[in-house]
Formats: sequence, structure tokens, C-alpha cells
Amino acid sequence: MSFLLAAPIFSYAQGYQVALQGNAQLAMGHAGTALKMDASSVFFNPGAVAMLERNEAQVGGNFIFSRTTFVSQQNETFKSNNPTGTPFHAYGVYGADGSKLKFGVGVYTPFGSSVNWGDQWAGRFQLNSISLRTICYQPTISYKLSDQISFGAGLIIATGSVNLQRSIGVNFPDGTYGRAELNGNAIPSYGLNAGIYIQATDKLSVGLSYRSKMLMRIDGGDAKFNVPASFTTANNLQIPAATTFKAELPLPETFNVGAAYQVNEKLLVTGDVNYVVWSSYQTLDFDYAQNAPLLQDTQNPRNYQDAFIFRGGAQYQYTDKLALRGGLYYATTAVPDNYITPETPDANRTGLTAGIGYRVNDNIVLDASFLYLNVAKRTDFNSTTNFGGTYKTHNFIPGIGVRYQF
Amino acid sequence: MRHIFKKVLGVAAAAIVLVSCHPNVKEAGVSSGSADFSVYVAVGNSLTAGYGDGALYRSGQEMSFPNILAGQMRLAGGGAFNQPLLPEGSGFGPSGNGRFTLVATGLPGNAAFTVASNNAPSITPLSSDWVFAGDKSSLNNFGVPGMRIVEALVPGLGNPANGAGNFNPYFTRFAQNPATSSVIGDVFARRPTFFTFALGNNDILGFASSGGASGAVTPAATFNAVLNLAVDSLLKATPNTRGVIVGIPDVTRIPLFSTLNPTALAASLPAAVTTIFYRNSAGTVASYPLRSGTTNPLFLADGTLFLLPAQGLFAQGIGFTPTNPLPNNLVLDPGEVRNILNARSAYNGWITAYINRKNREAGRTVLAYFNPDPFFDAMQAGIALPGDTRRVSAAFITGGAFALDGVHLTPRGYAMVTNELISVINASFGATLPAVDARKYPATLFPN
Repeated sequence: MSFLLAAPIFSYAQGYQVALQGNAQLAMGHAGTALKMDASSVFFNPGAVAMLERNEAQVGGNFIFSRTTFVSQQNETFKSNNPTGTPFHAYGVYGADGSKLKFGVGVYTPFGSSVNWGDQWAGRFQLNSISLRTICYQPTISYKLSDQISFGAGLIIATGSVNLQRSIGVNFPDGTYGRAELNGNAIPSYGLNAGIYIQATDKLSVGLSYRSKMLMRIDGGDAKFNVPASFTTANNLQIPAATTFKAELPLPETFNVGAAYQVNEKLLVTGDVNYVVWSSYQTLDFDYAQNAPLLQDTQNPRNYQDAFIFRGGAQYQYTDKLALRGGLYYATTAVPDNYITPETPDANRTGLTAGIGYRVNDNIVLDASFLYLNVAKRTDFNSTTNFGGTYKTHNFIPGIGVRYQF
Repeated sequence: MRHIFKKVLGVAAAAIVLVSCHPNVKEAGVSSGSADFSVYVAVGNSLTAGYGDGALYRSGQEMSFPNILAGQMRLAGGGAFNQPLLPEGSGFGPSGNGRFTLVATGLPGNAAFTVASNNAPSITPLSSDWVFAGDKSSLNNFGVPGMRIVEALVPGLGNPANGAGNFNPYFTRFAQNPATSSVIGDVFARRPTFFTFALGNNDILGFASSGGASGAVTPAATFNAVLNLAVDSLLKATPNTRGVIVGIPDVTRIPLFSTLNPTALAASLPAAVTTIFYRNSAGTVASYPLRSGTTNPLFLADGTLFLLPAQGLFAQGIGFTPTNPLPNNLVLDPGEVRNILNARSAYNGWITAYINRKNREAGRTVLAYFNPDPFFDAMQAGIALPGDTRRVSAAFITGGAFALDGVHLTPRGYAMVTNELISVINASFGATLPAVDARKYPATLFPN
């Protein structure tokens, strides 16, 4: 039996990417590669950091209200009761007056998931709940070659943790099922975030950025199995009560290209295309330190496909103090047909965004954003587990950030 | 600008209201097709009653295949499904036992689990608790443990006045009038619009489970005659009554007979044991060449079956010498096995012939045949349920499909049979009943 088939990952953007790295950009469809608006450029395009006119410290966050409805092969409806996700970001950018060199630092959460189906739903042997967190720290340096071109790069240090629970198909005397819980912290991994910013004309800017692939590796995570005691005794070791596990999950590389155009004094439009190399996620393997008849190492095909995200947004400077923003995006799914899992009931996604920026005084700007993310209804069956049905997800994600400029 | 923030807060508040809603996904429509499920009645034996682990017990009744099926039928116009439920927590088996339980032996080197029969039944036949106190005129499950097809038409099958051994106490419980009722008569009075008919197993099993030492296989001609009378009667219950007749599975493939197979015996008995001796039905000592691969490979196809309880005698050293043979009632010799298999084929032949004739006469499908063979075949290797690669199989204890008596099914096994029945009903009557999630129903309960 391999009841640990999958690393369940749920997603808010695509795959298990969480695209919520700056409230101003988010309100504009989360396009930011060709913008030099604020310190979020540390994430969106380190090349633009050197172009920022002022030094800045920024913090922000979002509340993710994610709801999935699932109709099983047996025509039964189940609803996930997901905890509210609270991804956050913080950035700082500093350069001496008149210096061509700027230094930046970012802390953000580009991947993660939080889904809770409970232990009564049709897919409980795949997943009861999953909580996946990643945190990236990114010291950054950016250099302005001329007024037209700047580039920059940051070292990404990624850490994370996962908690995964699922039912085991073994009945206790009262008829209830056993349960598995995997818990682990990832070994820090390192990556690169680099970019170029080009001020092509007074009005037109172009940005290119790249974030490299990283691996979230867990070695020595805790695996606990709550099964009838007669399964864990020395003379009938079907499954150990506790052991450790190894697993790894790729955080895919991303190529980003964007353009922004200042139509007039008040109106700015921008667009991005992201290419996410999800094909690096081919398989998910669990390697247990102690194997037993009911606990074998597992190799679970994922075969993700590369995906595109198309983003567009605009900002209208309504008054000196108030900016109005709106945008939308469309993301193609990373999960091919026959590979859907309850952890990632992914499908093509449409995001509608809106928000405002409000300048409180010369130093402080507030950014509020709202994202409605509609994941297309998808009926699919996983050819490995033979489990599937119809999934439909929508997300409501309000967020707020504050910037201090100096 | 304050009003702007108030608006933002307003939007956020509205959003929070929205986020408590899940997206709506429409379930597929469910139709009964040409069938009418408003009064579904199940006619059968212990398998229909929900019997398992050596006893009829309350939670088993609640997870009987007809009750699971009726739950799906309710999605398509099905009515209430009333069962003659035992009191909560009660069970009763043929030797006065309660439900069998599994115990861990905990001794290194021994088999990990043994089946313990709980000899403290919580209910006594014919006691006031025993008799079903509910409304006997609105019952839907007429599963009577132990009943042979020939008994289904017998008036007074549940009459205690017939004396011990000459009445069926399980029918006494819920017969409209135990002194005079026949099972088919009571079923007819219920006017079913749809029925499942699953009888005939005990006409073989009574003989088989005694190792051929007692009872007799019901002659196929008798089976056919009773089948005609019984089902003819059911089809007349309403003008549009439809039904499914369940074929007789191959009893030699249930754990009672299949667990002590040559491979398992060769692996578990001491290497010095090359021959098993048993007393055959003629009273003489016969031998079975166990490690036939080294002597005569043809004997692998011998076909002798050792019943599961022989395991306990092997452990005591019985059956390894001609002077200390296994008793006749724990062995089916090749002749007895042929007798069983021939009866099964004949019964199923009569069932399909009957169904074909009835459908031809009616000019449409009024009866469907549930052929149990594909399911039981698949169950030998195991069936992977959606979402879990652990297979549910016919293996005793570990397989999860069969109960601890080695004959009946676990609730999960019954749920999987229900899904097979649903396929048959959908295919035959154009219905669209959804399958059930068989993992909602427990399999083997393992001790702590």
C-alpha cells in the first residue's frame, strides 16, 4: 500500500505559486516587471531597484479566503474548509543620495498552500489537510548603468515547512480509520533573482527578470502513523508508529518580461508575461527511513507542464494623493489532464484585481488591494490514483501594505 | 478621503460575506430509468440480511447491501427502506455466539491475528428482544440467514411450534405471522415495485461448509422449480415490478475454502509434512500429496479443499499421519468439489434461462442478471478503490472484503457488491444511480 501518494499542494495562483508580492502591483494584475514604483521591485525585478527615486521600507500582507467545492465520482459534494492564509512581504531599499548603486532586501512568501478537506470526504486517503509554507529572504544589489538602463540581482535564501495529514485505509475496532501525519522543515536552499530595467523612452519602460529553480528538501521530517496497535508490534510490524522521511519539492524557475507605458500624467498602463517552468515538477517521491509492508517508499508522477501567466493593469492618478488601480490576469494550468490531485485542483485561472494607493504624507503611502481569483471548473481523474471528480475553486484576497519613503 | 476608506472597508466586509460561500457545482442528475424504486424489497439469505463475522448484528444490518442500495435509490424516487433491526449492540450467530472479533496473539513467531468467537451473545433467540417490535407490514429487507431457496415458499418457516431445527428463528423475528407466513408470501404482500432476489447460496453452502459431511446440495431441477414459482409471484406484485436476480458465486473461492490452498499450506506446514491425510465421505482415509511439485505435479489440480478451521487441527499435529487424519467435515474431496461446482453452474444456467424467458415474454427488460463472477474473479487479486492503491481482496483478514467467518462480506465488501448491482441496474433499466464510496464502510476491524 502506498497511502502516501502525493505531496499535496494547493495553490492560489498556479500550481502552488502564491503571487501576492506587492499590494500596488497586485491591484494592477500583479504586473510589476517593468515598473519602478516601489521597493517591491526587489521581488518583481531587481534591475529596477536602482531606478527607484527614493529609499523605502515596505510591509504588506493579504488574507486568502479560498473555497473549493468538489463533486466526487459518486456524485457527492464536498467543500473544503480552508484556514485563512496570511502571506506577507517586506522590502527595504537603500542607496546613498546620487549613488548609482542601491541595496535591497526582501522577505516574501512565493509558494505555499493551506487546504483542509477534513477526514470524512471522498479523498481522505489522499489528503485530509496540508499546510505548506515557504519564506524567501533576498539580499539584493542593483546598479544604474545610465538613466536608460539598470540591472540587479539578489540571492534568494528559501526556507519552509510542511504539515500533511491523511487517513490510512486501516480500520480501528470502532470502524474509524488510521491517520498519517507528516511534518518537516526544509533545508535552506539558494537561488537567484536577477533582472534588467530599460527606460526606452520617457514614457516606455521594459523589464526582464528571472528567478531560478530551487528545491524544497526535507530530510528527517517526522512521520507519525496512528494505526491499530496490533499493526505496530514487533511480531506484526505492518507500519511503524513513527519514522522519518525525505522528500523534495521543486520551486520552479520563472522568466518574466514586462512593459509599462505612461500614457499621460495621470494614466499608467503595464503588462507582464510570466513563463513558469513547472515541467521541473515531474515526480514527488517519499523516502521513509523505515519501511514495512504498509509503508513503502513512493514515487508519484506529477508531470507538470510549463505555464504562462498574462497580466495587465493600469493606474490612474485621481488626485495628487489618490491613485486608483485595476487589472486582470490569466494563468494557464500547470497540471496536465489525468494528473489532478486534491492538493492542487489546478485549472486555468482568471484574476480580477482592484485597489487604491493613498499618500498620507510625504513619507507614507498606503496601498489596498483586492483580488478575486476564479479557477475554472475542471473535471479530471488522476490516472495513477484513479481518484477524481469535478473541482471548482474561487478565492477572495483582500490585502494592505504600507510604504515609508525617505 | 475618509469616505474612501469606509468604502474600502465596506468592500472588505462584503468580501468576507462572499468568502463564506463555496462555489456551486451541479451534481449530475439521477434517474431511475424504466424502473420504479418506490417500494424496493430485498429477498435473500444472510448476505441480504447484512450478516457477517459469524453473526447477524445491528451495525451489519445497517450496512447491508440492500440498505446501501436503497440509499442510492432514494436519489431517484426510492422510498424508505425498513429493516427488522436487532436491538443496538446485539448480535447472534448459529452457535449462540456474538460477533467474532480479531485478537492480536502478540507471540513472536505466531500468526499475528486469530479470530475469537465471542460466546456471550447479547440476545437470545425468541426472547422478547429477539422479536422485531416495529411495523412488520412495512419491511423491505427479507434477508433470512440460513434460508435455502426451497424454504422461501414454505409456510410457517418461522414457526417455533415446529420444534428446534425445523424452523428458522431469524424469520420468526419478523414474519407477519410466524405460524403461517412464507417469506415469498410476506414479500408479495408488500407489493414491491423493485426487488433483488439472492437465494441459492445456502443450497450449496450447507453441504460445502460441512465438508460434504451433512446436508445435501439442492437438486438443480428443484432450484429451477422454486425459482420460477417465487419470482413469478414477485413479478405479479405490481404491474410494473422489476427486479435483479443475483447469480450464485463460486463458494470455493471464499476464504473458508481458499485460505488453506496448496501454496499456503506448503509454506506454513513443516517441511517434513508431504502428505495430508483425511477421512473422506466414504469413511476411509484418503491422502493429499501436499508437496506435489516434487512428486506428481498433476496433483496440484487435484481440487481438494481444506476448510479454514483445519488450520487449528494442523497446529495440533492432526492430519499428518494415516492414523490421525483430519475429520471428514473439514475437507471437500475432489468429488465433493465437482458436485458443488456443477450445482452452481446449473443454478446459474436456470437463472439466466428464466430471466431470458421472462424478458422475451414481456417484450422488454423486467429482470436483470447480476453475474457475480467478474467481481469475485477480480477480488482474488484485489480491487483498488479510487484514491487508494491498497487493494481490497478476498484474502482472509488482510484482504478486507470478507468477514471473519470467511463466508460473508465486510460492510466494505457489501458496499462494493452494491456498486456492482448499481452497474447492473443502470445498464438494464437505463437508470443513472451513482456508485457509493465503499471506503465509507469499514473492512476488517483490527485490534489495538
